[in-house]
Amino acid sequence: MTAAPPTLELRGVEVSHGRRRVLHALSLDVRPGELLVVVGPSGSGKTTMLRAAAGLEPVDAGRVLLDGDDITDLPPGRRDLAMVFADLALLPHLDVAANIAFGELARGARRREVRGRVKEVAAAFGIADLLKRRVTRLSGGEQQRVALARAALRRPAAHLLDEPLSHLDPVLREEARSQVQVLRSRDGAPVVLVTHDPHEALAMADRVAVLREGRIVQVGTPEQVYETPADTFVARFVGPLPMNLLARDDGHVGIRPEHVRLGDDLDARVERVEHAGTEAVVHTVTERGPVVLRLPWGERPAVGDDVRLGWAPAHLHAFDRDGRRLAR
Amino acid sequence: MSTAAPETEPETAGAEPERARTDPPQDPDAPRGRVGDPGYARLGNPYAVGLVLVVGLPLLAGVALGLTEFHGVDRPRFVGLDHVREALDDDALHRALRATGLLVALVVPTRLLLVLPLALLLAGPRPGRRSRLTGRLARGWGRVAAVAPSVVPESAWALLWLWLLNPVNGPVALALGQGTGLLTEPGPTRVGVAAMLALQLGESFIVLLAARAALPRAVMEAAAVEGASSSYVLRRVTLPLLAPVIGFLVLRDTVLVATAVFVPILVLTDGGPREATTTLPVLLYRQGFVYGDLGYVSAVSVLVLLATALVVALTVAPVLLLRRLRHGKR
Repeated sequence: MTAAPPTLELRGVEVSHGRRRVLHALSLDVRPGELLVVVGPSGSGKTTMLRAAAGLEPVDAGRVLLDGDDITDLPPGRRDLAMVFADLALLPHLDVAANIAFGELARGARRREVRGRVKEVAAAFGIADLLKRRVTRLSGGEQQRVALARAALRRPAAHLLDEPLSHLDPVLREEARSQVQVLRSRDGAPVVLVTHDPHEALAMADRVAVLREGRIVQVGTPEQVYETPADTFVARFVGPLPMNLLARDDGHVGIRPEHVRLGDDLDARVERVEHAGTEAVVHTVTERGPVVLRLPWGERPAVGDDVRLGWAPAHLHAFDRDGRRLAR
Repeated sequence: MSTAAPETEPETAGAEPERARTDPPQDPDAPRGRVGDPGYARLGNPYAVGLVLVVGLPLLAGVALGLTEFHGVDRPRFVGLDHVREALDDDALHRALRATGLLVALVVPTRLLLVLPLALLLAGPRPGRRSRLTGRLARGWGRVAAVAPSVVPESAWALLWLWLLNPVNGPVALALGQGTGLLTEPGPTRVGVAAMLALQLGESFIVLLAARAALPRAVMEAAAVEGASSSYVLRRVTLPLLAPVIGFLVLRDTVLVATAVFVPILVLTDGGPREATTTLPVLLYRQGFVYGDLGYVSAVSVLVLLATALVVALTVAPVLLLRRLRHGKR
């Protein structure tokens, strides 16, 4: 997989909004068939990056390549990319079938010619019986499927998905993840999905790219990003709970909450206990900073208790003064 | 019903205001942006006072006056529906109706054909295009130029056209020669008046520009990403989405030109030559305030109002019906 040339590649892309630089020489490649999730907090430039790839955002510098061809100067419609927008951007005056077929019809196809393919794509996304409905009459989950079906119909070289799940409620979101997998499995075109939700990123991605303030901080598999975060930002941003960071002379030592146990390395006082299903999330303060740990619900300490924390040295992460990861 | 019984069905709540019952039921799947009436209508209540005082009472007085013979100095004499019968074979009125119809037919489509491209071109850069300083300047000044004719006083606008179209030494006469017939022959003069009115497109321009800006940006971008050309987007996305606004503007322009536009025509042509530009408002003004036939003019005004209301109702009702059918559950 690493040997295959990238399908979509951003090389040193810079974008500014007015005087504010949003993307700083950003480079990223998307390999054939993969699901790349770009994750970052609000304002980190995720959407701008996607829009630059789609041609909706003029770039100041850098190139965008698709299958090795420079598409930086092509208008959006000639890039052979499909995009699913955060608010889906369906055409409110058209029915579902016309929305799905919009791209092909706009390129001069006749309704008759695409009818079969529209039906087939709609069936793949479970909306075959909605084809005659106006999109404004659909539920959020149904509209989301229409948007994915529209992207899938043209079989573009790559799919760009901008927070496609963010407006769905948690139950629908689970279901919609499988719809994204349908999109990917249909034509083998890679999918770039942008999200602010690190859980979503770890759950779905083949590779995760963490974006912060217009720069890629780390790219890797979910395991790599979770287990060897490149810096303290990634360590705290990615994961079900932020990594604990303990101050020391030359930087920080990090340890994941699930790796902290009751032991004999550090004195702590319990500040807060949160219920998390079978576990308790225990917030403590120590002389080296706050530490969060998870304990079985039955073994939770009471608020105000003094406890001693411990850990296995193998689970420690070391970061230098600038927050960068030190080799172990 | 007592306010202490919130569980009461609206149907049985006798004291509920009527609109609460006629409102469509709240629908959780309703399209976004179509929330039930949150009671904003009540904000218009103070306006209703003005409506009654400034429109309602004069209208009633107009109806009453229309049933009388009255010249402003004498005592009104009740004549019943005589004025209606009079209007039916009033040649001057019929000529004015024809002149008005002709002017509407010239002005409304011309204005639309001018304002629509203008508003769309001056809306902003296409998706993915950088907004450059020159473009922003051009758009800014273009917008100013488009709105200017509607913000200068109407009489000043008409005086400008009086100079432009002056058959002896106006710029148009200098450019095209003195034989154009503008302001001297009925046909060319109607065209001149129509041009003057059609270019008062500032209000339509602002409405269209706002409507275009309110179209969801992502929808236009999605169309661009899907490979739609500008003309395809125009035909299949922009115009259909703007259709309600365009329809509204056409109806508004029709009603205004037919019943309200008055000052520029009076200043430019005074209804001439040979009554060619004597539209309804010009005729009514002359009959009422020059010849003092206030009873007759009131009667005709009320008739015109009723006819306008009928036309608007007949235009709007099918649209509302169609919309209801379309948005209904399937």
